[in-house]
Amino acid sequence: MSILMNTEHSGSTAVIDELDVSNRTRGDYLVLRVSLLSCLIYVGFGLTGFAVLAGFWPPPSEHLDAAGITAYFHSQGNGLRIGMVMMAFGAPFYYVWSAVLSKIIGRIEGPMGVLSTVELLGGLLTAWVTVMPAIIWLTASMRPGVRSPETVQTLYDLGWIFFDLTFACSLIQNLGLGFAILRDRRTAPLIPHWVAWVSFLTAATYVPLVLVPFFKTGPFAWQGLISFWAVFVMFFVLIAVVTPYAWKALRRLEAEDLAAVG
Amino acid sequence: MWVLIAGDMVIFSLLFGSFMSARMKHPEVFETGRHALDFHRGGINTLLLLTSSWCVAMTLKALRTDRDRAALRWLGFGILGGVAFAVSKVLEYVAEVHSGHTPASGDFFMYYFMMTGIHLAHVIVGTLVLSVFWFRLRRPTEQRSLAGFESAAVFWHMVDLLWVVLFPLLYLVR
Repeated sequence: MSILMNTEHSGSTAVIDELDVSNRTRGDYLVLRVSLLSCLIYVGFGLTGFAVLAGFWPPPSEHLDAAGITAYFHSQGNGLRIGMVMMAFGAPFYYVWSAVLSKIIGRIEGPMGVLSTVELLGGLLTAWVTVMPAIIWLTASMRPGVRSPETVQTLYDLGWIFFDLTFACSLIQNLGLGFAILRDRRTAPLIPHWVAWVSFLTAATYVPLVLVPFFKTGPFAWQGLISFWAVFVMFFVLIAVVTPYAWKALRRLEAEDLAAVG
Repeated sequence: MWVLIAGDMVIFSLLFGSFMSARMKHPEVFETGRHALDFHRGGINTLLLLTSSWCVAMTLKALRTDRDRAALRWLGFGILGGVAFAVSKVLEYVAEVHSGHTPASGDFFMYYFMMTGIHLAHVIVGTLVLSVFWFRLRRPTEQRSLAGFESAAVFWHMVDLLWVVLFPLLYLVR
């Protein structure tokens, strides 16, 4: 079997044989797999920068005064700056990972399915939500001794409010992923249905973040048991759960596509 | 579904844990706060949710034996229980705010409003989900699976269970 393709330049038809098509398919899936693994850059750079180098695990408390938070930024020095540069660099890789999930969702829904787009845009926005706090905290850490403590505190607050109160970007992405997984009507679904519920649970965990502006201590402050520990742990748990199943789904889709070619 | 139930209960357990640890630090503040709550209303709300949960269990029993009309009636009572709980809880909040207790009046009321508020959000979601099933049940279809309704019922029993822990924790424990 040969596949006929129109080429715009000559108006003639060029023949691409089966071998080329299957090679192109293999190439597509290689790029998909590499892109899926880009979550390692996001998680690796993000956690090393945020948790290890900046020491935001858990972060300085919401109830610290201006002098306290300024002293923390000074004590961390270049470690915090390098950490924030790493976080800002690694963050956009989240949308590459999301683009792969979007492609898989595209194979679950029909041509008019919108969940794959929701997954992609949610990934882009979540990447942005990770970049901006790093940029803001990096700004806060610059010019020690010149920046007034009140400015450092304002920027530190802004970074957290940006991080936490934009949760809907990721929440919508998680809902999209969950509903897409449940819509999969294959006898053996591409991604098991229980993963959808992990996604819903992660989405639900984000909702109490609406309380962050109202509490400086306790479980709902940004360093608290719910707003920090539950939210951050579930965010990474979802990535860890989804990625291996996405890998398996790609393997199955590749086999299907190659079988269709030849 | 069980993943969501288990995860939700872990998060509530974290809240119960932080409540208890805050309580150990200031037992007298928590004891004074507890006395300001309307214990009778808390009791009535507990009965409402327990009864509602029982109605939902009866709905499932009726569905399993193909008694759709009975199922519809039981589910209607179950939904009414959820609505009654939500209305009663909101009235209780209004009364508490009027007597000067808000989430800003100390640790006890912060935990009280937040934990019952998150629980109330669960009650509202659960009532909405049960209502969707009520409307679906009114238009019976040939092929149906009980799995969806079973998930909703399990969620509703969890909402009930969480309240059965919340009620003694906030209103009764000395």
